[in-house]
Amino acid sequence: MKKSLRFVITLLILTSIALLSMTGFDKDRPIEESDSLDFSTLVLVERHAIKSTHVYTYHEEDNKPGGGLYTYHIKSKSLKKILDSKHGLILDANLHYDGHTILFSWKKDMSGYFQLYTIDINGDNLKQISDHPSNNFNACWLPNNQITFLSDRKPAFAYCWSTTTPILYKCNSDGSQQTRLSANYLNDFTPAVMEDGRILYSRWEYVDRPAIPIQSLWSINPDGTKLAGVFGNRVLSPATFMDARPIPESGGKILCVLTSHNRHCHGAIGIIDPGIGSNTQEAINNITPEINIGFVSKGDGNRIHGPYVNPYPLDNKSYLVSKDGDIQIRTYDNSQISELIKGMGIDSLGFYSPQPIRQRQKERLVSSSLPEEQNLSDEQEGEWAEIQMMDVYNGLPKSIERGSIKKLAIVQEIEKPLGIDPALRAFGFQFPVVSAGATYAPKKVWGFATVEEDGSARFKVPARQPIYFLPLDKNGMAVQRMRTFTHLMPGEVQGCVGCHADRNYVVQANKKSPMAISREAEQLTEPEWGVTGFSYTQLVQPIFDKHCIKCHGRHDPAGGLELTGDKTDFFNMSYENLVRKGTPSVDFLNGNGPGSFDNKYTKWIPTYNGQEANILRIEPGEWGAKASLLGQIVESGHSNKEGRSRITLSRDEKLKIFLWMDLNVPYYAGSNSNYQSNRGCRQQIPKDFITIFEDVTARRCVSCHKHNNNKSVFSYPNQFALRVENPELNPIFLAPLNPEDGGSGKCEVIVFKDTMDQDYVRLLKTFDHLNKMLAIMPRMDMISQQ
Amino acid sequence: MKILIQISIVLLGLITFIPQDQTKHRATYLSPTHISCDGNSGFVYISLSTAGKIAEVDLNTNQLKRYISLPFNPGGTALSRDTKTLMVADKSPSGHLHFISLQSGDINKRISVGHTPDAIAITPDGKQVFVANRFSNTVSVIDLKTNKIIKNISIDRDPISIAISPAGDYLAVANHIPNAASTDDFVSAKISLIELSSLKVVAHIPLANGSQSIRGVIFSKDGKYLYASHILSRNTLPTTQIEHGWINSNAMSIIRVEDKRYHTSVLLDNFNRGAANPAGMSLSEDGRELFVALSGVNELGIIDLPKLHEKIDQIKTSNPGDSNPEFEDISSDLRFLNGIRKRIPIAGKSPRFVTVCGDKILVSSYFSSDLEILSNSDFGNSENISLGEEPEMSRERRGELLFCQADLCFQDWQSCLSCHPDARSDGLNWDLLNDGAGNPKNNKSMLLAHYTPPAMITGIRKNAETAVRAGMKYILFTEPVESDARDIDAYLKALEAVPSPYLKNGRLSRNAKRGKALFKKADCLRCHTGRYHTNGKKYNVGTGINQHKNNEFDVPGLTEVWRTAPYLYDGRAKTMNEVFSKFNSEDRHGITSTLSDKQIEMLVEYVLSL
Repeated sequence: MKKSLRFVITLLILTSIALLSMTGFDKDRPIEESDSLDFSTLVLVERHAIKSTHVYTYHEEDNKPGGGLYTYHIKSKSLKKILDSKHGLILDANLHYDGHTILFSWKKDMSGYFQLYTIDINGDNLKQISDHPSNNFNACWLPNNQITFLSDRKPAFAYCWSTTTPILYKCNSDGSQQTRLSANYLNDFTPAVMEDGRILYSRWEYVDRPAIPIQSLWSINPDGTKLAGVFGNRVLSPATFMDARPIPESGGKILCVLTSHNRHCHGAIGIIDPGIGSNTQEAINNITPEINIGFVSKGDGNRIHGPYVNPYPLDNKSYLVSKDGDIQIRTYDNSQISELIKGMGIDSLGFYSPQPIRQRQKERLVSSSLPEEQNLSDEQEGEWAEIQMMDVYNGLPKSIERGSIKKLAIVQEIEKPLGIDPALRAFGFQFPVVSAGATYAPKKVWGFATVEEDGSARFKVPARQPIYFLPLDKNGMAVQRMRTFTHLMPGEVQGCVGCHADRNYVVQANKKSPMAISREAEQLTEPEWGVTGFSYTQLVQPIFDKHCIKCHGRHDPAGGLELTGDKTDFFNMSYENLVRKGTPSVDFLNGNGPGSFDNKYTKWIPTYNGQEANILRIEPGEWGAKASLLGQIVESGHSNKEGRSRITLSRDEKLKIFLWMDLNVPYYAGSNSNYQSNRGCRQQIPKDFITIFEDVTARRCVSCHKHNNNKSVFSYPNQFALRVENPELNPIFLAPLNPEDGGSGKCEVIVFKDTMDQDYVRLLKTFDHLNKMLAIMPRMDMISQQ
Repeated sequence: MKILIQISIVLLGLITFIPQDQTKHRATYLSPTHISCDGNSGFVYISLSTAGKIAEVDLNTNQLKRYISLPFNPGGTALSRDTKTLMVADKSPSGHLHFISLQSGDINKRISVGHTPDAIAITPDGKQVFVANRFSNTVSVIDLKTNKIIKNISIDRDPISIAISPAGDYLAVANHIPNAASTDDFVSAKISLIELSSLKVVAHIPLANGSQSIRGVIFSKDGKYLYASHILSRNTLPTTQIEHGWINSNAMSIIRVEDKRYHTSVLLDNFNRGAANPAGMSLSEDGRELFVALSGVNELGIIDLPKLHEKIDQIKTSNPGDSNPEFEDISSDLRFLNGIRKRIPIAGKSPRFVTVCGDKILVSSYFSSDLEILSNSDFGNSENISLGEEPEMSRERRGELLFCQADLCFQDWQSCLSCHPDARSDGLNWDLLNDGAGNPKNNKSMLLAHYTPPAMITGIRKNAETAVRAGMKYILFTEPVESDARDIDAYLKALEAVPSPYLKNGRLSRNAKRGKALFKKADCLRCHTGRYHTNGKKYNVGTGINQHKNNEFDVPGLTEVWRTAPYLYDGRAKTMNEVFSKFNSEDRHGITSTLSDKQIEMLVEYVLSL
């Protein structure tokens, strides 16, 4: 063949090879050998898997020392240690835009906390960034060189567990100016930066909802303003979307871990496209389909078991991930899966937080419109923000009549500042108990704002607090329930479309300028009882005492409904009868048995595990004062057959009762307790009562009452409502007692001839000591000023 | 050596004989705009709107064939039916329609039309051509047999784009911005619909409340619908945020031609990313796809029309009554076009015109020297045809680019251009937060703002430079990059006023001269003095109401004030006449109560001549 022809052919072949290799992944070539990869080395964290009991406890549970920070050259498979952590635990790592500086969190020795550090990729320049006596971790660079991270320095604990609740903070790259961005009272997770400059993160919450299934995706601006739900706030399964990062050039798709709640953070990997819907099945693409992630509208999302964690999107085609400590590079369509380096399994050291070492472009910096003079790292008392609501009816069904909403109540979920042993739980997972299986959190009403005729409102709200809004009708009854919360930074001015159905899609229609906007922002009208935790005994019981107990007293109450305030082992009598009676909450330990929670008097939202389906019930008027018999009776004046009112309550008195129902029937006003070692931090039973009770009933009662089950009065400690005030009125005393001596005759035989019966006296006497103790150290509902 | 000398001579000759540009711009940038397509020959003509020429491109070879040099900067073009002549509008204050022989490249004839003729359209039968005169607010109708204007039709305001129905029975005119007092409850730019049989306007059709910057207008293939691309401002809300289209959304509105009524608007934006500054539109050959140039985000939007109408019709028929909330909500629903609209990236910066030529989709981008060709079947692959060389961007040019790019904006919702079309004003009131909320003010033109500090209606910003940076931070919601801000300053400083349409041959009319004397007599010169007609101070001229009672306002400059109706700080005066006749009863804004109606007209004519 002619020399020139041979040359041309060779050239053609070489060109074809070059061209082919430029067209993306070659199916026959492993991804990591592809020429289109723009990096050659990875950052890796080596550590033990953290097999925590929950997705939110990885900062405290199963933390084992060992491992280090590494770089890994893919082609030569050479692993280079840049920092040893034999005695400590490196949790995570994030590489700066400069491709050079690693930001990581490190529990240097196991007796201490996680703190933030930076180090160069060659191991030089190790610097400690944070030193606050708290856990500081999951840090991420911001495009202005600041850092956002999680910290549990604010003393708050999970309601339903014993661990702290780290939330979102930010600081300068040298650790100065640490500023709290989040007002969550439960956990935030794993922040990352979106292409438009917002921070993407996950948050756990349960405002009047069960605790398990909502760990959803949220966004916030780097200055802590413009908090917004991104995806999953009403998705039951998967329970958790976390470890989320934006996929470059994908129109806003997000790569994240999909997993359970009561398990560690490994799970399935999904691509979320919020553009399809905020809670829709179609928006979730499970790219590890061998793992069953359930359905958005079923269950509690708690059955997802997968090995994948720390996914890192490289571009819009492929990503890195750790599979129980083995690092993989995969295409989103699973056409190519390559293992880059193997760990030693989930029960030993493995590799996590894989990231390519390369430079990347900074996102455009979102501007801050907060007043510049503020020093936000210095939290003050009395910080305020402003809400400009355009039209409250926007997002409500058209069945809600325009003009029917008169006010907004601004409510805060009060955090739990105590760590309590979960073994003390009652009414589901309440410790301390706040309600009988309804609201987990105590509530504080900050005040009321006026809603104008056109549905607009403009009012101040407390800043840096987890707050939500209740739209109230002219009677003071809530028209809809928000069941989530928001928070604003001091000086933030937030416009909202209304009582929005799906805030991601609705733009305000152009109408006349809203009435409220042309006036000043209103200071909230404080509640008549002050801005304090809502206490049933302080606010609601006095109304029953004044207007109701004449007929609904201790003896033979009308309708069989006693409304006195006699304290019981957990609550008081009226609360027991209005909330607990007739529902599975009669059983304080389990509380979630079969049976309906559709209580006769008060329709409250049960938050027990297993009740997750109620999260999807969002029609207005499902719960609360509007749906409750008590609400109707109070509003109508409790008319008799002739239509005449039996009671006249003032507007304020009615409002308190309605609010109590719409706040999801809290009993206790806060988490503080003088009895932190008691069941639910509340339960009061006389010391010897149980043993004496068992002895007496064995001898005097069981011969007739042969069936001894949990629902019966003879099986303790699951008895319903043991009265500690006026204990002689408890059924165990009244029913067997001779009617001539004040008994009720319910036993139909006389067991205690009179009140001098020895067993009667012995059992009753046990209350003396208890009441003496309570007089010295009262339970919180027994104090006049809580 | 010999060759060198020969080359030098040739070069010298070329330099000497290149037609001098008669425009004030440094006409070395191409700024491609309008595209006319000869479907038969595959030749397309692209107006190089700041280079004084038309580029002729051969789609068969994808090559630039030649330039047709012009003694003006070209606007819209239309091919005669026999494809031998190219008609070109010259965007000039004393505008002409030019007829160019495509064979020779010479201008055969020109007809005087109105002020700044730009968009032109020819009837399907080739007998009439229509020229939209932007600042005469008219459409000139020219009979192509006689080459004479048979009528000048008055339309609403600033006709920037026109389209003829496929059957040749209607002409639709996009009026760029609203023409109303901005204190009205309903303010919208309009589409003027002209019946071609009578050459009469049968309707000025408003779109949704807040519609402005209508850039594209086009009929559906069956003539049943008319589509308009525009910005749908949400200007009744304080500018507290920008996400989810809170300030500006970007829309395509639909008019039912038979009813001559507005039907609905759909949002071109995604829920998390705007489609800023929708501009020119075109239809695929089969009429099933609508292409919209998204000039602020450098993309092409593609809408599946059958799917779109099916979805709208379903909602309409589900509740045919007068009130159908779901139908009313369409223009608020950022998800409506999911699955119906695609967004394709365009390589050029600020694509403003899209034309379908055969099976090819041609896109011209103002800041790009290439014509982009997309194939209907594979949008991933596009070809570029170079239309010439361009120098590196000057600071002013870069500023002009930044001004119209949503790149500076959080989530791409808008650019500066969105509220300041042509760097002037959109005619709406806006409730900016620089002086608290609940007190909307009329939008101001950027022309000469840098020469007349302080800035904003209340004078709250020290100067225009401060206002530019505040705009980036508080209205585009990203931290200003100082070099970007300086480029925008340079661009705005270089803006030149368009001569007033009230001038006669470039000079004050007789009435305007009399008005000038009245201007002095009414004491206007006390404040409206100097080169830019402002002494830069603030006064209470008795116009403040409600929370602005007794407020002082910054004396506005009056250059190009003919262009920036409505007037006064809240835009309550629809016309300049009303400023004096309706809103100056106490003579605090000049002494005008003693003037007769005729005198006020003369005063007005003078002021509007500035």
